[in-house]
Amino acid sequence: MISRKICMLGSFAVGKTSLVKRFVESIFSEKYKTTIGVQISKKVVTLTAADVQLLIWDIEGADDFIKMKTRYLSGAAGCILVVDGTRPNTAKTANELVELMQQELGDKPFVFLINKHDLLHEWRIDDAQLKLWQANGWAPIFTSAKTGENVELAFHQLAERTLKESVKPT
Amino acid sequence: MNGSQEILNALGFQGFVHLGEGNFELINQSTDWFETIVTQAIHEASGLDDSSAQSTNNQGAEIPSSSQRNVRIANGKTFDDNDLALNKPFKLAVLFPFIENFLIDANRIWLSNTETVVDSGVWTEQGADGNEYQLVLKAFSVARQSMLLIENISDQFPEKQGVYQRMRELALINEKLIVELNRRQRSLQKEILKTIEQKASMRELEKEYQHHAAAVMICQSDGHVEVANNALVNIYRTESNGENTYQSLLEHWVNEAEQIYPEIKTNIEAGRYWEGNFQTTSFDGTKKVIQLSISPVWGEDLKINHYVCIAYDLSDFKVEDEDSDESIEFDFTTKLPNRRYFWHKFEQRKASADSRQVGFALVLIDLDNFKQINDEFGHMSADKVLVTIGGRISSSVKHDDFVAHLGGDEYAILLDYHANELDTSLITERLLRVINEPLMIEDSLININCSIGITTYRGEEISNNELFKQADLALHYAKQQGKNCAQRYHKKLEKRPESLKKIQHLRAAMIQRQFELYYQPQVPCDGSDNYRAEALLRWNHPTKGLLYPGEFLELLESSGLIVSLGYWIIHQACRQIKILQDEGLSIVVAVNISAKQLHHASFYKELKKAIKKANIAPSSLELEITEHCFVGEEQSVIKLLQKIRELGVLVAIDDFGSGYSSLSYLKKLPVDVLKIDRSFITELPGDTESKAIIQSILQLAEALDLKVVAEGVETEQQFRFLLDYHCHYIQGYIFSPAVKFNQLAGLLKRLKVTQTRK
Ligand SMILES: Nc1nc2c(ncn2[C@@H]2O[C@H](COP(=O)(O)OP(=O)(O)O)[C@@H](O)[C@H]2O)c(=O)[nH]1
Ligand SMILES: [Mg+2]
Repeated sequence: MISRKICMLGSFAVGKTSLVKRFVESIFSEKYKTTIGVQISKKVVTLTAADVQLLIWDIEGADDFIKMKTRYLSGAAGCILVVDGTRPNTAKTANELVELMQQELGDKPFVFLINKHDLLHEWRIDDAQLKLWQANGWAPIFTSAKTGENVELAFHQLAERTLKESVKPT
Repeated sequence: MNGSQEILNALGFQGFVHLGEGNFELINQSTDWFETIVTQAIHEASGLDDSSAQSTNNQGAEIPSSSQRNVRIANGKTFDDNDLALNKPFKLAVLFPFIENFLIDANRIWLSNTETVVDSGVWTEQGADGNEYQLVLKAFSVARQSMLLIENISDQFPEKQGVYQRMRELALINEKLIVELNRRQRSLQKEILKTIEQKASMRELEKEYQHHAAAVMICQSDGHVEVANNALVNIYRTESNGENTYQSLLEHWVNEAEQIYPEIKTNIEAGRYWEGNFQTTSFDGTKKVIQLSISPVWGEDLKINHYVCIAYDLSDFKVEDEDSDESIEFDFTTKLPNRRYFWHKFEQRKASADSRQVGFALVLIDLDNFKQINDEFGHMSADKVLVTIGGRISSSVKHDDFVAHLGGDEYAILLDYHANELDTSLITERLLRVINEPLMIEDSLININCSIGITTYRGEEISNNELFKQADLALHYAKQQGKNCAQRYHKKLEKRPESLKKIQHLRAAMIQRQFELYYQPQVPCDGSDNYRAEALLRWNHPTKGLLYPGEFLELLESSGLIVSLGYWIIHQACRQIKILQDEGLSIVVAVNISAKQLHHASFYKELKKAIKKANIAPSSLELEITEHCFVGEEQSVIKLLQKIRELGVLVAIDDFGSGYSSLSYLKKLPVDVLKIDRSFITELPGDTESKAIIQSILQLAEALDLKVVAEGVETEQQFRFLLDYHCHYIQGYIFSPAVKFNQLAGLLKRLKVTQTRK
C-alpha cells in the first residue's frame, strides 16, 4: 500500500494532538495534556485513486521554550498546519513554521486549519486576517477537534494532495 | 558482553548493533517494554496488511489470511516472536518510522567514527499492554561498531511533562488575557473616536457608553470631563456622581502613571496614543491596578480638543506586589523588556552611573511609517516586523547594553560608556544600517527606516523625565529632518517649531484639496498622434497664489507626506486619463514618483488599485523615477519595476545622465523611456560635452529600444539638434508650459511637429 508521512505543525495547545486523536480514534478530551516530543499515529484513508496509509507525526508544538527539530520533518509528503482561532498569536508561529517547513522540505503541500471553531464566542480571527491568508493562497479550513467539524476532510484533502504530488513527473 | 547486557537491561536500555542496511542485532535480552511496543507495532502492521489485502481482493487476486500474526518485515521474511532473540538480524526501522527517520542522523555518526553521541529527542510509542512508553534513541560508535540504544524514560517522564505542562498552561492564560484586553480596549477606542468623528454630541456618547463594562472617560484637552460612565464610578468608588468629581482624573492618572512611565505626559501632550498599566488609588483609598489607554481627538483646526480614556480594572488578576522588585516584564510580541522594565532599568542605571564612574546614553528608536505597514499587511505581519527589528537591534549592541521595546514601533537602548565622550555616530550608523536591511513580508521585500534620538548623561543634575525628554526631542527632530536619520540631543533643539507649522499647513492643504495637477505635453517628433504629457504638481495656496514644487517638495519629502499625496497624484492622474480616453484621446501620462514613494510598502498595490479603479489601460500611465531610487536598493527596486512593467505600466528614468549610473548600467534596468536631464538641454547647442552626452544617450536608447524624451526645450536650436539626432519626444516651453487639465486636450490636438530632419 502507498504510505505517506505527514506532520502536524503549529504552536502549542492549538489542538494538533486533539485533531489526530479525533481523526484516528474518534475521541476528544477537554483536558489539556501537552505533548512532549513526537508521537506517530497511523491511519488508512480510502481515496478515489487508492488507499493511502498516513503516518501522522504529531510533533511537540513550537513555543518559547522549545524549538522544533526540523529533522522530524524529513521525508514528509505534506503537513497540516494548525492555528488556534481563539489565539491570534498562534498565527504568527504558523508563518514561521511554514518557512521552516519550506526550508526543510521544499514546496510540499500543506493544509491550513483554523481549529477550535466550536468556540465561536471566543473567536479572534478577523476578516482582514482571513482575506490576507486567502490572498496568500492559504485557504483556511475551519475545524473543530471537539465536534469533528471538517477534521476528516482536512486529512483527506492533504492525502489527496500528497498523492497528486507523486504523480507529477519530477 | 554478559555483564554489560545486564547493566543495559537495568538502566532501561535496549541496545543494538547496526549490521548495515538497516539490519540490527540485539545486544541485550529483550526487555518487557520493548517486546510490548514491538508487539503493538506488528499488530498495527498486520492491520495494514488487512486493508491492502482487501484492495488486492477487489481486483480478484489471491490473498493471504488477514488474521495471521506474522507479518512481512523485509525481504520476504516474516516476523515472529523468535525474531527478538539475540544474534538475529532484525529490521527495526520497518516497524518504527521514528527510528527510520533517526537513521539519517545515526548513519552520519556511525560513518564519522567519532565519539559523539546523537540523541533523537523524546518519542512516544504505544505498547500492546495499553500503556504509552516514552523513549529516546542514542547512536554512537564503539570500537568501530555502530551502536543504537533505545532508552525508556517513561519513569522520569511525568516529571518532565509536568514542568512543561505548567509552563504552557501559564503561558496560555497570560496570552489570552493580554490579547483579549488589548483587543477590547483598542476596538472600543476606535469605536468611540468614530462616533465622535460622526459628530455625535457628548450627551449621546454618555448615553451610549453609560453601562459599558470598560470605564470610559472623555474630557476636553484642559481636563474638563464631559463623559464619565458607571464603570469608572465603580473603579473610583465615590458616592457623588457630580461632574466635578472627575475633574482632575486625567491629571491624577498622569501623576500615577508617571512613576513607571515618565514619558506619559510628553506623549499625551504631543497627541500620541498611549497605553499602559499601573497602580491607581481610588477616592476611598483602595489601591487598584488598571490598564489605561488614552487617545487624543484632533479637531479640524489641527488642535487636540478631547481625550478619550478607557480603563480596565485589572485588580482581579494582577496583584501589585509592593515588596518585590518584579518589574521585570517583557513585551508580548517581541519578547524584549517592556516599557515598565525599561524605566526600572533606566532609573537603576542612571542612579548608579555616578558611582560606577561611567556615562550612559539613552537611545530612542522609532520606525518610520510603520502605521502603513500595519494598515497594508495586517497586524500579524506588522508584529513579525517588530520582532525582526527587535532582534536586529539586540544583536547590534553589546552584551551589557539594555534593549527594550517601549510599545508600538518604539524601542530604546541604554548603554554605558567609559570614555569622557561617547562617539554616538558609530552606534547610530550601525543601527540605521541594520534596521534598514531588506525584510520580507509576505511576498514583498521592504525596507524599514527608522529615526533615532540620542542623549547622554554623565552625572549632571537632571531628572529622569527630563533626560528622557531630551532623547525624545532629538528623536522628533530626526523625524522632521526627513526621517531615516539620527539626531543627538543639543540645547539648540529646544526651539524649532517653525517647520512643524509648515508641515501642518501642508497637511491642511491636502485635506482641503489645494493641490492640483497641471500637464505639460511631450510632443512626438515624428508628427504622429501619440499624445503624451507629464503631470506636474501645483499648490493653489490660499494667500500666496500658485506654488511650484520647488517651494514645498522638500518638506513634503522630509515630512513623509509625499507618500499619501503621491497616492493622490496617481489616482488623480488615472482619473484624468480616463476622462481623456472617454473623449477619444489616447494618451500616456507620466507621473513623478519619489524614492520614498517607490519604497513604500503598499506602492505596488496602490498603483494597481488606481489603474483598476479608473478603468484605464495600464500602458497609458508612466512612472518617472530618478536614478536615486536605485541607490542602495538596486535589487529590490529592479524587482519592483519589473512587476510594475508586467502590469503594463511604463517606466521612465527622469533626469537621466545626471545621476550616478553609467550608461552601460542602463542595460540592467527595467525601463521604457529616458528623460534627458534638462541641464544638458539648456547647454545646447553651444556646449560640446553636453552634445556628446546627448548623442550617446540617444544612440544607447536606440540600441536598447528605449524612447527618449527631452525636457526643458526652449529654443529653436535646441529643438533642431534633438530632432536631428532622433530624439522621440520634446517637452518644454517651445511648445507649451504646463496647463490646467481642462486645457490639455485642446492643446494636444493643436501641437504637431511639422518640421522634418535635415
Ligand atoms: N473547544 C475546543 N477545544 C479544543 C479543540 N482542539 C483542541 N482543544 C483543546 O485545546 C487544548 C490543547 O489541545 P492539544 O490537542 O493538546 O494541542 P496541541 O498542543 O496542539 O497538541 C486541549 O485542552 C484540548 O481539549 C477544539 O477543536 N475545540
Ligand atoms: Mg500536542
